Amino acid sequence: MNADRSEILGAILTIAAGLFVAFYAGNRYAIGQLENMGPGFFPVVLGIVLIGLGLLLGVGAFMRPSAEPVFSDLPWRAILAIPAAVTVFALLFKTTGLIPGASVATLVASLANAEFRLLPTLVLSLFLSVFVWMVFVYLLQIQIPAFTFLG
Amino acid sequence: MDLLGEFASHLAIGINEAVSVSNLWYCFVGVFFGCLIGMLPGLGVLVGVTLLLPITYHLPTTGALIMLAGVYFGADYGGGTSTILLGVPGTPSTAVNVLDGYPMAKKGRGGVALFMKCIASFSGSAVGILLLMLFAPLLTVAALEFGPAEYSALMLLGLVAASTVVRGSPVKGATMMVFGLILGTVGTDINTGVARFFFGLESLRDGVGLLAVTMGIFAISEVILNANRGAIFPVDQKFSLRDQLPTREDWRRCVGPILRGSGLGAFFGALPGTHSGIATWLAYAIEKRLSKKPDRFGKGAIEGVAAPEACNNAGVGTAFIPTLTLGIPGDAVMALMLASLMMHGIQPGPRVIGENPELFWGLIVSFWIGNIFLVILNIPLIGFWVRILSIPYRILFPAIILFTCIGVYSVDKNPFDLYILLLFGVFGFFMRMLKFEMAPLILGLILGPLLEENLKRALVLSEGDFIVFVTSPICALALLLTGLLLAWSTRVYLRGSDVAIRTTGQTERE
Repeated sequence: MNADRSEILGAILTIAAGLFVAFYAGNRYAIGQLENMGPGFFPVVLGIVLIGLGLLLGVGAFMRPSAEPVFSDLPWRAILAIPAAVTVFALLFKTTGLIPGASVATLVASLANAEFRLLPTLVLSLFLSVFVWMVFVYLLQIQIPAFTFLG
Repeated sequence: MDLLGEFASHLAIGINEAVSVSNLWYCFVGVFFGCLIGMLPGLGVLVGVTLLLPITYHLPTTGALIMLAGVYFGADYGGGTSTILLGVPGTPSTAVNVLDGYPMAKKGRGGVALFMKCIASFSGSAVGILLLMLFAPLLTVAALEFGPAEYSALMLLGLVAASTVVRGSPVKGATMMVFGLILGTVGTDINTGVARFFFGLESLRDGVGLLAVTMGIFAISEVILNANRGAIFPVDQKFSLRDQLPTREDWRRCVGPILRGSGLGAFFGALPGTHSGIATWLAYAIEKRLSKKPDRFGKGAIEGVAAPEACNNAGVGTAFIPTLTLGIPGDAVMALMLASLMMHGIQPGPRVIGENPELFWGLIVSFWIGNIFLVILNIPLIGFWVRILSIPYRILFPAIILFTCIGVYSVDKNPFDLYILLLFGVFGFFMRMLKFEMAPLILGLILGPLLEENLKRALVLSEGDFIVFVTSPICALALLLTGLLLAWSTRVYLRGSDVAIRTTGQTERE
């Protein structure tokens, strides 16, 4: 097939999104008429436009020669480490406080880099968490406890 | 004389507002941070503004905008520095400097290039700000006559223009824009009270969370993409003040390019969608064509640095014109400025300047102050920046993640926002892998609700008759331009070529 595979994927995703939006909104929310647009009007129209754009993308995909596959060179360490870091932060900072949450998050995030070394990263995580505490809690007065076990 | 008196009193308000200790400090932080962000390759204005957005949420309105605008100006100054010294573009809009700035650096004239770039940038900014001061109040008067039909048409034009005149495929840009519009519908519809697309999650009743989406799409996805980037070491340069001064010949060569570049940049800056760099490439191409010795270009011609830099900075000033007078942003950064206004409870539109003169004039004065800060920061302190450039990325990116997470949380204190952040971070990353530009999504998200409301109002007033969109001249013109843009970009897309390449004949380096 003489088509660019990542373009096809983009086209399919777009069409799928458009279909979902149009049908979901069309079924649940009143569309109303032109002079009295209901909540569903705009989303349905947008969904249809999206489908149209997706079809256009599909056509364009078939008119291009195959390019190198996009998904061969993915930075897997980063894709796993960064979301993990955000999740870890989200889970920890309310229960243990800002400083532990930020430190662990930094550690986890640093795993994304292939040159990871434990000791410098530990230092970095402590430094960054204190720095971030100073900016947000001290300077900007945003109430996030640094350590929850200190009351 | 009355006009002059009025002008003077406006300036007085502005100076009063801008020269307060806190606003001066916000201005400095903004330009410093902008310079820093612009200098580090891979992070751009958008990431910079995004990172500071949650912080500015907690500041007073004027201070918030001063800081964000400072980032915008600073990033263009900083981006030029790294492009000249490293040969790697710090920001897309300064990429042109690779052609002549970097060769100058290699020949040992890097200091001169940086100096001239600074002067050019300041001149460009000056032109842009002057035009802003002149035209914004005038345009406001005209804009007060606009009705919802005009607004819808203009917003649509702005959206389409900003989404299609991007790097990469215009159709993909439009797709992301529409997706952003759809995301904008998530939440409770103001008119009917119906909660749309909330999937039973209470937190979604208020909308998807602009900040979390923006930071996810730009900051988090950026980090995932670049986490493995190492540090790049700059060319060895001497940076004493005397080494930096250009010769008289240099000055003579640059006057024209700076003026022409400023004019070009000021024009394009006010138009939607072009700040990503097309104007700077044009400025370069024009100078090359006008030069009596075009083969000097590409080997270290100082005009090749001066014109694009002036162009760049002039565009920043004029970009504020449609944003502050009409409430229509020209690109994603301006959209984020609008979002900041909205977060502080100000409804964008022609009334902004009239109802908030301290805001507008204070902003103007702070633009001048900010640019002066930037000249001071960039000329004598250049050695400091050079050392900054060697910071390894692996120290920076955890900081970005922390800033992002805490920033997002600090706005609504809702941990759910962090999961939105995560979701859109991953989404943004995969979309960029599939070569979809994310900036139009933000435009759609911010303008979506406004567009819908104006469309509704226009149709209610005209009782469902579409003729209203054609009878008003402004409407008709805007729609015509929109249609032309759509037709042109479809054609470009089906031919398989990149917008920037076709316009200038140059390839952009990433």
